[in-house]
Amino acid sequence: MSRLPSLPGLQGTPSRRSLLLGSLGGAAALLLTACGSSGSSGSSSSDGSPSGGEISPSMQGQSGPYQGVYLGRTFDKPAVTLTDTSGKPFDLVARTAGKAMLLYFGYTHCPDVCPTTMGDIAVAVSKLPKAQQSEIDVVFVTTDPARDTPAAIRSWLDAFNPAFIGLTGDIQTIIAAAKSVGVYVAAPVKGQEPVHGAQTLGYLPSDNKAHLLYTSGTTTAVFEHDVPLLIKGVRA
Amino acid sequence: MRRRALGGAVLAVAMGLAGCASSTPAATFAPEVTVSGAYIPLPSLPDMAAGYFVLRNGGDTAVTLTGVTSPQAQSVTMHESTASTMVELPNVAVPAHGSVTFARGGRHLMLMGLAPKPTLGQRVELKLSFDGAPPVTVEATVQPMTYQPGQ
Repeated sequence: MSRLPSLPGLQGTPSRRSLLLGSLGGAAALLLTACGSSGSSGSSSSDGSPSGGEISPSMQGQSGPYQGVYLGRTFDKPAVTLTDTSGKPFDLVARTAGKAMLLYFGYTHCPDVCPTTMGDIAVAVSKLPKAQQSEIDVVFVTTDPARDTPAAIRSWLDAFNPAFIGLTGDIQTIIAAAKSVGVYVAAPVKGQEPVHGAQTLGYLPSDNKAHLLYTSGTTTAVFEHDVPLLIKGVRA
Repeated sequence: MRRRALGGAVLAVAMGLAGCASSTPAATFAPEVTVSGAYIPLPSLPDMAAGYFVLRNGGDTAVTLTGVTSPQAQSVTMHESTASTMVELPNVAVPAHGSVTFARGGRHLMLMGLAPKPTLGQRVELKLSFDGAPPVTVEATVQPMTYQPGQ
């Protein structure tokens, strides 16, 4: 996989392991080294792959310029008015008309998939020329409105990009909005983890329709590749 | 401590038990099970973080990770993300001569109430308890929010 780091500077610190190896004799170091990397059985993981799943090569670039998954049909933007992070009504169709958009349903108290997805999108957006960064709307709709107040969503999104749009509202409205674009969201049950489809939809500015899907596990590289194309309105 | 760790490693090699030395001295005393690459992405919320690492079992029998604790966290639980939610894992089996990866979008630790609030480069101690092997203590490094290992 080819995820790109946002801040590569912190990755090269020498570990205590290398110090230990350096102080051992050559033969012992060889033994330890062989075991630590691509040695025999230890590294042949039987079940070590993440369940989120990369987009497999066969699903990429299906007769088109994008690396995301081509939807079998297009989806309109959900025709809903939700509440933005300043507490004001936000008419999703009207406010994002004519702009490329990435739409994701999730919740802030989600340690793994949600911050990974938003982080990967944020890295891709940050790589755009400054002037282009405002040409795509990244919209996060909470699936846990009881806990995710507008302020909580704002503070969470600010960690990724202060320009990202956060929306909340009545859970049934959110469930229906998600369903209209093929994303499953369940009403949260107290004491259980919220359930939501973890895919991101990619909308073109030209027709305001979703043509592309990014499953959880999509790499930053895929977003970096596709976001400029979405902004330009390259046809999927 | 350093001296003892080194002695342990040399002894292990001499005994033909050349285990995978982990990045912390404590792990060198349990060569069958090692934990490497432990990290915590800088969390977007102060009260919750995820943790990732690779477990390797160099022994001839399977072991089971039964739990993780940290003196810096109120609670640590193991979860696995699925296509639409995440489920708590009561334990995780590591097959003989096999490995299990905790990685983004899959198995992960959920650390609640980390104190002090995580900052870049900070080390967070994790103690992993096993059925079939002694506990292993490692230090996870707080990495940038979008860090992915092995690039």
